[in-house]
Amino acid sequence: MTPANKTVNVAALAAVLGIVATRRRARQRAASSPDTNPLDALPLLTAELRQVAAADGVQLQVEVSGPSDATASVLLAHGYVQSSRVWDRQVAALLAARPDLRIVTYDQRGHGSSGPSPAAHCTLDQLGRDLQVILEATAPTGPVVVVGHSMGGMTLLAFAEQFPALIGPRIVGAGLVGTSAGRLTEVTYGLPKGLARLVQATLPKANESARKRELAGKKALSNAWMSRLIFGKGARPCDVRTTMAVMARCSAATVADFHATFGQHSRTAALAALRAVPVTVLVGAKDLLCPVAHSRDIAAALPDAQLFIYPGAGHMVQLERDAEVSHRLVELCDALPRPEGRRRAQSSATS
Amino acid sequence: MTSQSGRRTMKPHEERRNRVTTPLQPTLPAHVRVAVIGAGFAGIGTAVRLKQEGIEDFVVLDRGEGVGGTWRDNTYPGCACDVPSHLYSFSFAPNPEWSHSFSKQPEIYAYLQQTASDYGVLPHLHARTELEAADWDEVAQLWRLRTSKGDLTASIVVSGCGGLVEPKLPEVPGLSTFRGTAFHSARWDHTADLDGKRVVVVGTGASAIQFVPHLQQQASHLTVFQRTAPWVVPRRDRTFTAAEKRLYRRLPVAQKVARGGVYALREFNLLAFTGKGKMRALAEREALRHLASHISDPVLRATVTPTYQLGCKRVLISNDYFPALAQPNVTVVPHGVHEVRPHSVIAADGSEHQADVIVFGTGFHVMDMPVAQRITGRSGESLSAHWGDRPSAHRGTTVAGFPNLFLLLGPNTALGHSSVVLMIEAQIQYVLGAIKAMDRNGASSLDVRASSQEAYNVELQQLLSTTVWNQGGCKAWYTNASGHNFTLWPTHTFTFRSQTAHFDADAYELRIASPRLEPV
Repeated sequence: MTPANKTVNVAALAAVLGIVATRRRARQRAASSPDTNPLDALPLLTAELRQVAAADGVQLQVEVSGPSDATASVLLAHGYVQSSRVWDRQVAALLAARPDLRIVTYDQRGHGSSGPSPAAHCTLDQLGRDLQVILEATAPTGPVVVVGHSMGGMTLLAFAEQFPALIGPRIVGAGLVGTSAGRLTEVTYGLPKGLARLVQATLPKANESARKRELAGKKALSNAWMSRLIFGKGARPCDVRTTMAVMARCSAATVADFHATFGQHSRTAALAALRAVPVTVLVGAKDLLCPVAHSRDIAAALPDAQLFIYPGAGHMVQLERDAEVSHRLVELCDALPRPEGRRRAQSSATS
Repeated sequence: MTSQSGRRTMKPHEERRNRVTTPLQPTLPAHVRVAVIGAGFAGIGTAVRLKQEGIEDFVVLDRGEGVGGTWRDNTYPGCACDVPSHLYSFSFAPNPEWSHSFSKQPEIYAYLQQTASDYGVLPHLHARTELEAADWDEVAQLWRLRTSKGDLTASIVVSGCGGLVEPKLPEVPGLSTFRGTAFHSARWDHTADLDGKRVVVVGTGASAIQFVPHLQQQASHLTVFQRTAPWVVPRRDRTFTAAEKRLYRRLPVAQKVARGGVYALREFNLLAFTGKGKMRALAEREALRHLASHISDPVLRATVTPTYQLGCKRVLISNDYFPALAQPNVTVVPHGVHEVRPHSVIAADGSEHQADVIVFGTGFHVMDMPVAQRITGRSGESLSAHWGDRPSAHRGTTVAGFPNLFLLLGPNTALGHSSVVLMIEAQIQYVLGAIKAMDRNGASSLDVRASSQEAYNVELQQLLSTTVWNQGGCKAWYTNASGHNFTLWPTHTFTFRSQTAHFDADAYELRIASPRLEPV
C-alpha cells in the first residue's frame, strides 16, 4: 500500500466514523427528545395489594384500585415476560376518567410478584383458569371488561374457550391489545423467513441454557436487543427502561416453560364467544411479535369489533401510544349501559 | 393564441364577468368521498390534485357566485398581489400571460377561473352553497354537512377557507347613525359615488395602501385614520414584454427558472424576519429613504414613520402611497376611530373629521374564522371552542379530535416572506398522502395524536419566539391578545414542503373499516 493510498484510506475511514458518530448522536437526540412524560410523573397509584391462590395453589399478586361499591370492573391481563407495570398508564387514565370503576391488574403466574408455576401448568389454558379465579376473587358480581395484551389477550381467548357462558352475563366488553388468535409459529419477527425459522428452532435451546445459568447462580445474559424487537421507532426511553427492567426480573424458568404453549395457541373458534360483547382491537403497525395481520384476523372474525391501528408503534402499544389506548379503553367502558342509581344498587348487592 | 399546454391563453382585461364559471349543479350528491370547502386557491388546487390522483368522487362547495375566493371578493381599486406572479400561482399551471411582475386582482381572478375551467374543476363546483355546519359522526365514520343548498355526507372534509375571508369591522359607536355610505374594502360598493366627496379611510394595512392613492384622486378630501404606521418599501413592479411572454409560452422551463429565482430570493429575504437584524436594518434604511423621498413635510414624515421593527406587521409594497399622502387634499390622523356621527368621524384624540363616505380597510377575522365555529369534532365541541384563542394544528393541517378533517392554510401556515400558494400546494400533497395511507390500510378515519400535535407546535413556537413577528414590538394580526403567534410559518417554505411531502402516519391513529385489507 502506497502512503498516498494509506492516507486516502485513513481519511475515508475517518469520514465513515464521523458519519456514524453523527448519525448516532442524531439518533440519541431523537430518542431522548420525546422523553417528556416519564412514568414517574404519574400520580402515585394507591392500589390495594392482594394475594389470590390459583386452583393449583400458585399465589397470584393482584392490585385493585377504585371504590368498593364500583359500578363495574376492568381487569387488565399483561403479556409474556412482563407484569402489571405495563398497564400503569391505563390504570391511571381509567381511574381519572371513571372514578366509579374498579380497576384490577394482576401478575400472571411466574411473572412479576406472583409465585412460580409448575412447568406443566405454564399453559394458556391454565392462564384462562387463573383469570376466572381472579375474576371471582376481585369482582364476584357486576359487569366486567377484560383487557388483554399479547399473552394476556390469549389468556382472555383461553378463558372464553373454557367459560363461554360467562361472556355476556359477566364479561360485558373486551379489549384485545397487540395479541393473536393463533398461527404464532408463522411470525417472522421482521426477519427473512428462513432466518426466522432458525431463530424459532434455536429459541428452546437458548431458553434451556438461560435456565441452567440461572440455576447455577450466574448472571443472565443481556437482553438489550429485546427493546428493538418489542418497541417501534421513537419509543420513550423511560418506557423502554421500565419494560426492560420488568423483563429482567422475570425468571428464565418462566421464559422457558411458557414457550411451548404459544406454538399450540389456535383459538379463532373461541373468538365466536366474544361476538356477544363489544370488542376493541388495538395494535401497533410495527408489532413484530403479534403482527397487525393477526389483529385484522381477530377483527374479521368479530364483525362488530372496532379495530385501531397505530402506525409506527411496536408490540408495547399501550406504552408507545398510551394516551390513545387509554382513550379507547375508557370509550369501551363508557359504552356499557349504566343503570340509574347503580351505585346504591351495586353496594347493596356486594354487601 | 394557444399556449404550450393547449389551453386558451388569457386576456386579463376581457369581460371576466361574462365568463361561465358556475355551471348548472342542480342537486348535491347524498355522499361524497371528499368535500372541499371554498373555491379559492386552496379549493381549486385541491380539486385539481384530487383529479390528477384519480379521485373524482368529490364536490367543491362555495358560498359565492363561483371560483376565486378572496380574489373574487376583493374588488377595490388598486387591488393587487404583493407577491410576484411567477410565484403566486400554481406550480402545475404556469401562466405565461401575466402582464405585470406583481399581478392585479382582475388578472389573478381570471387566472383562477381559467385554471378551474382548464382542469375540469367546474363540474364539481357547487356555487352559492354555504357550509352551515359540519358534524363528525363517529359511529358512521363520516362528516355530516349542512349547507344552504341541502345536506350531504362526506368521508373527508378539506377546508379551503383561508384566514383573509371574513371582513372585520371595528366596533365603533354611532356607525349606524352615519348618513353617508360606509363599507369594508373587501365588499367594495362600486355604486358609491366618490368623486368630489369627503372620504374617510380607516386603517393603513395591505388593502388600504392600495386603494388610498385611487381615493386621493377621486375625493375632494381624504382623511386616513392610522393607528400604527406601516413599513412601506418600493414596489418593484414592471410589465412583462411581449418577448418575455413569448419565451414563457414557447419554453415553459424559462418561466420555471424565473419562478425559481423569485423563490430563492424570497427565501433569502426571510433572514430579514428571522435573522439577527443586519438584513432588517438594510431594509429599514431603504424604506425610510423611500419615505423621505416622497414626503418632505417633517410633521407628516414623523406621523408615518413606524416606531417598531420592520416585519413585525406585514411589510407593504407601494410606490404611490406616500406620494398620495403628501397631496394637499389628504390628512393623516394618527389615531383610531372613537365615534361616528351622522356626517363626521371622531378620532381617539377628540378631533372631528367631516365624512360623506367611510371606507374600512380594517382587515379580516383571522383568528375567529367563521368556518371554525361550524365544524364540530368527535367530542361534540366546535373547532373554535376547542381552539379558544390558541388555534393550533399538526403540520398546520390536522387537529386532534377532528378526524378526516384537513385545514388548508390552517394555523401557522401563513407567510410573511413568500407565496402562500407554496404552502397550499405542500398541504395538498400531505392530504393526498393521508388519503393514500387510509386506502392502503382500509381505514375509515384517521385522527392525529394529541401528543404529536403538541410536540410539533412546541418546536414551531420555539422557532417563532426569536423572530421579528414575535419580538418586533407591535400588535399585528399574526398574534393573539397574549402575543401567541398562531398564524405564521416560522422558517423557510422548503422546510414545510419537506415536512408535508410524506404523510407521517406515525403521528396518527387509524380506525380500520375493512379488516381484511393488508397493511402498508
